[in-house]
Amino acid sequence: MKKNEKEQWIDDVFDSWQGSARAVPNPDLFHRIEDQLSVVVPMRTWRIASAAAAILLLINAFVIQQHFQNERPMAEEQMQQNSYSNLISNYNIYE
Amino acid sequence: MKPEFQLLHRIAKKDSIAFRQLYEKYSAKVYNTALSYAQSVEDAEEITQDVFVKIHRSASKFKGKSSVNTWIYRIAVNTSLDYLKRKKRLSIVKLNNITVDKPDFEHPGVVLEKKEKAKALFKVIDTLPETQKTAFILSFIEELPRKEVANIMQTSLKATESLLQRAKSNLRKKLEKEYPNRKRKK
Repeated sequence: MKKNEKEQWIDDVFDSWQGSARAVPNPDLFHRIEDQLSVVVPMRTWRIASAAAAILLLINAFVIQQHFQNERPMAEEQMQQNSYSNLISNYNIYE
Repeated sequence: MKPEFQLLHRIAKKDSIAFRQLYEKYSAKVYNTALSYAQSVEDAEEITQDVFVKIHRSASKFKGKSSVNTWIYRIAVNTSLDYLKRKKRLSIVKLNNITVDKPDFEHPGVVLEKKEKAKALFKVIDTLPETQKTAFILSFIEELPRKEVANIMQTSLKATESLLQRAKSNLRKKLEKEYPNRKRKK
């Protein structure tokens, strides 16, 4: 009998949807849709944003270029220092 | 040209009156479909909003290969599924191995004396895999003909019927566990 009761309950669950009404969306929803559709970014804003992005990229490129240019002389100086100290230590010139 | 095709054609030309007419015709269908997936009034409204924005923006791309009804249902189903995936990614489901259960969904259209059983039905629908869930919602909840369900899902009638059969079988198994008078194991 328990099994029949369970099966009946399951059947009732499936039948619970019968006779149900369609839910109705909020009457304000259409206005929200219209509002979303009416949002248009002006072309002038796009142009300003693009120009700002281009300027930032140029600045970054300039800084990076400067960084690598400064690094080369420093590296060369370091190498020269190393060769002097090797010379001194090998030949004990000042001892 | 069919009247609904004409509506879409006018919407593509930004005819706001045509858009309003289409909304009045389809908003309840879209909303109820979204409600079955999202099981939340707020989420269903957001999905419905997204669907109609998509319809407005892609009206010019409608080629007429399917009916307008099929096309709109397809957008509603895909938008609902995408919304659920997005929500799942964003939500904090587990915190220190604790799963947060969402409250059982009460569909606003269900009659009072059937609310408890309807809650159980929607609870188990939510656990179905995507394709079974879609087939079941469109066929059982939206009461669409199976051929139409197959068109919306872009699959064969046979495949749709197989999905429905599996969905019902899975739902029955899950409902057995939900049966309120079952004896708890000690």
